[in-house]
Amino acid sequence: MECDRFVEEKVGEADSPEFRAHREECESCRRDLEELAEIRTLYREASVERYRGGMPAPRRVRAAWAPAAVAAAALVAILVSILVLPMRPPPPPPVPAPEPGGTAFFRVHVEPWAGDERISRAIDDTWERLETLERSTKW
Amino acid sequence: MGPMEELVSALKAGRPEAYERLVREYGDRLYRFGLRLAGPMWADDVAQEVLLRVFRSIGAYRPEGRFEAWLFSIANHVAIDFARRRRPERWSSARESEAEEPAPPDLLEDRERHVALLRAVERLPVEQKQVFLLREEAGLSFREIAEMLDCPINTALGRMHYAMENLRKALKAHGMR
Repeated sequence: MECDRFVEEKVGEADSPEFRAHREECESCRRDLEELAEIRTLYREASVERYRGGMPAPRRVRAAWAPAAVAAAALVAILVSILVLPMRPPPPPPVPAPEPGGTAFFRVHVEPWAGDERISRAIDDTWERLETLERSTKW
Repeated sequence: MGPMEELVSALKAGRPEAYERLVREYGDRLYRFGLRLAGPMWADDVAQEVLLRVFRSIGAYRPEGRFEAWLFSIANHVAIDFARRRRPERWSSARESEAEEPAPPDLLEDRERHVALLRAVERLPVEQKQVFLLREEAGLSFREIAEMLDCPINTALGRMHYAMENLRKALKAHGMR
């Protein structure tokens, strides 16, 4: 631009009374305005490429730590199975069917150091055996 | 409620037709923004990534400014990120070889002037190209551009000034009057 004044008005397409008065007298600014308008028009004519991709399906966000977390969980599961499974008590001996009208006794195998889960499992096992007994016995 | 508020509200409600409208109204401009800023290899990826980010974060959008300013601030981040990933030697060497053979001015038709202008836009320094595209492709005001780029408005205007000067020189070399 030969005339360095009113850059904001020329480049930023802003209007002001001062610039309107100035451009009446300044041939360089009038030429600048014409050329800038021509560049803008030319760009709008030229920039016509089309997007053909459509709306992408949302992807599940996968955190960078996810594979490490999966590996750690697998390792913990393996360690638990090694340490806990051998401690499971042997299956209780089969309970003989009681005589009709008799009484059935069950022993719940619970170690004093067992956690809640194992106590709960032992009680569940006992209930299961009792139900099996009820189904198979005619009282 | 204006059409833009309706679009934002429908996007927040997760209505599929709102996303179709988003693609229809802004897909081309986002694609061209990515094309000029990150290159042809990444243009599709830029548009898709921007649309995905809108999809994920529309709930956090607050209508303090224009929706376009928010949308193109995402596009600007994504395109700059992709531009950094591309292989500059492949991209620039392709353009250099094309630029070595300008058409003779007397044979220059409109289409050749268009191609010359687009090549000149691609060759702009990235700061000038950002401002030029945010203004001419995204239609943002210089105030919005300055806020987005976190610079004074005069800096944004100065970059546009240099961009226009560079484009004018390039077109004059190709026979612009």
